[in-house]
Amino acid sequence: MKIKNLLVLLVVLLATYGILIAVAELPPYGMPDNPVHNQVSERYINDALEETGVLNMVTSIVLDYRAYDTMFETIVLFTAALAVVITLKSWKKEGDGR
Amino acid sequence: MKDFILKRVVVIILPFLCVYGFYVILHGHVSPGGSFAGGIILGLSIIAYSTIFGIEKGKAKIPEKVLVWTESYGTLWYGLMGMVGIVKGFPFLANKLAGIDVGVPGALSSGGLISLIGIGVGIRVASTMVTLFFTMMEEEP
Amino acid sequence: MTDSFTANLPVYVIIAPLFVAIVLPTFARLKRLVQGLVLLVGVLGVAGTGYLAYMVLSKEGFPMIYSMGGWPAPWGIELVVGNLGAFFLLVVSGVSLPVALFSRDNLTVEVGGKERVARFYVFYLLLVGALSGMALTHDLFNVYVLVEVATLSCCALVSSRKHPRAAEAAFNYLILATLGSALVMGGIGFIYMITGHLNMGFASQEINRIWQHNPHVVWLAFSFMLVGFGVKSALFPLHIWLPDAHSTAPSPASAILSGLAVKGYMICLLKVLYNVFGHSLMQEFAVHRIMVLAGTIAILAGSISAMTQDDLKRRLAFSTVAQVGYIILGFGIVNTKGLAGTLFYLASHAVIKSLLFLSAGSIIAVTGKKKVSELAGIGRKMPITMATFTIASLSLIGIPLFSGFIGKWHLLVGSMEAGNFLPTAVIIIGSVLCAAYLLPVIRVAYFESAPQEDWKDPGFSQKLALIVLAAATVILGVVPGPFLELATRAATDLLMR
Repeated sequence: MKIKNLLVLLVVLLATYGILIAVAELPPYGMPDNPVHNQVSERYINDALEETGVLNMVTSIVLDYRAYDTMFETIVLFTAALAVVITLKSWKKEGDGR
Repeated sequence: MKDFILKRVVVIILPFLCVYGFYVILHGHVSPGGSFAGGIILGLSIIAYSTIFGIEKGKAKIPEKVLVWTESYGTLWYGLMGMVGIVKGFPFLANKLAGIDVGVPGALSSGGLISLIGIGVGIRVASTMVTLFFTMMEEEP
Repeated sequence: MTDSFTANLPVYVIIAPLFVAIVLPTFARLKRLVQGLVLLVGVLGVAGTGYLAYMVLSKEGFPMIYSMGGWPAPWGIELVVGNLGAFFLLVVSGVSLPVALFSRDNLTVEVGGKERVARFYVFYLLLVGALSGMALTHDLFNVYVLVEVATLSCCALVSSRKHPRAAEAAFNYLILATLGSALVMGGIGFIYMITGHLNMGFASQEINRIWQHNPHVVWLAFSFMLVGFGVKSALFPLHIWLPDAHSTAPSPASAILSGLAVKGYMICLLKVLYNVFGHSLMQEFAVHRIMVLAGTIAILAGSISAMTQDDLKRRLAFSTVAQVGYIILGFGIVNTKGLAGTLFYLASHAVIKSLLFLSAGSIIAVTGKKKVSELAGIGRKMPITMATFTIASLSLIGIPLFSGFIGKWHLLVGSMEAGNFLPTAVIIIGSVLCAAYLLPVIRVAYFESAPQEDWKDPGFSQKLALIVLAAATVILGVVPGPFLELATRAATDLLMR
């Protein structure tokens, strides 16, 4: 048991080290010449108002440019709600409406 | 719960919570917030009511059937709005491209399909919150 | 009209199951209507995907790119109906229809009343819709959202069984799968941070241009993706949720979970590895070697664990772990033959494993016996069920004239072409081990004396489903032609980047 714990600790430390090395290499947050500030975000910022007629830029991306993703997000919510219902209801009403 | 103060306070703030929830949903495209946030506020108003007055009273106000229907058709509404694009001969979920008037930015009627989709999403998020709450609370012995 | 219909067909294929799933709860009590709608969606799905595959094969303006909402690629979300997409769509619709057919009369025993059956179908359709979406999507974040839909519906399918262990298995699965989703999300985040794109094509161009500047980030993205999708597709050390989940789920659910859901995640992994990183970057980071190694371990460990199981469904579940190993190993063989064989094997395993689970499910439903050792003489009492089980077993072992053989053969040739003899040996050893855990079932069923019980084959729709799937594996084995052609072209596309 002790040795297993030590091994787990070693693995966790190694993984943390690896992740930290990689994170240190990421472009610094908020710099203007980051790769994320490319033509994609430029068009969102400059043309969203004209192309979608929406003041809230987040809404224009969520519900227009990437509306397909948001459709699946609402479906995720739907699935989650129904999954909770099917899991928990089974304990109360055994064999409802047979 | 039988606390008098809580009940009075909830009765007073509940209408404001509801109106605020609808406000955030309807103004998702002109102000910060949006349909997800607004839907949660709307759902929370019902959750607050049923926490204070008891689950049974909350269920009497919002029957399970209503929840099932709003959940289903709120999500379907999204898809139907997407089909508008296809019917007009454009890709799925097209908005301005499909010739829908996006209006004056900043007005409540702006955004074309975005505002309509937002209403559906808001109502369905609210009903999901309430469904989750009711189902999980029923579990308590 | 026809033209616009064809142009929008990819969207219809994805949203038809989803929309039907969404409205099902509102008329859950009308059982006939629910079942009719599910079957209708299945039939339309097969027709639609068959037509798409035909169009892709005849190359009429394909690969077709569908921009959601009319927004072009880096801004909006793209669907790409290429060879890989059409191939996997065909697998999804082709396997899900017989499963729906089978579940018509089988569900009430394991799931419960009308409303619960309707909810089962809701999750079934959501899963089919999400898998169809995975087949076509060309956007990283879209992959994540689809993975979430699929994961949640898988959990719900497992817990839909009226059994305390089912809820426990579903909960374990949920915890691990959520961890997997988080890792996938992290991987996507890292890719986005260094490329600034979510579209797979653009991200691929960008990552191949700048990877020297951030090699560790690319490495981390690789490992997050591998572990994340590895958890979800039950790669060996991360498979611990699978035997419980797949053996306690209702039989049609086990069939679709083992047959399709796991494959969906693997198709996502394939897309991320080959369409985003590209094979040159994979070889640069030696990821293909890791995959071959992981696949090897999974094949050996999965097969050996399967041999020790006496519970029939658990044995099949461990066999899935081994077969996942084959497919992951195949993803690491970077040449056309190997990848085409892997894709074909993926498809044939989807058919075979659903068939195995469905026939095991009907045996359990009729006799109530779950252990392999209790199945004595069942081959004479339930001839059709056991015959389909035998066909599926032989196909999985890789006997010629069955679909499993074609996949394994191409995989073998591909691995020899790659000059890597570890996979070659493992594929052959794996087949022997596979025979070692499946043939005893057949021996017990046919060559031991039967008890005096009145067991019969299941009802018509279940028999039809079993026969359709068995015919599919034989047909794929005898005339693999167009299907193999599609797989080969998909492999060529994957290696082109």
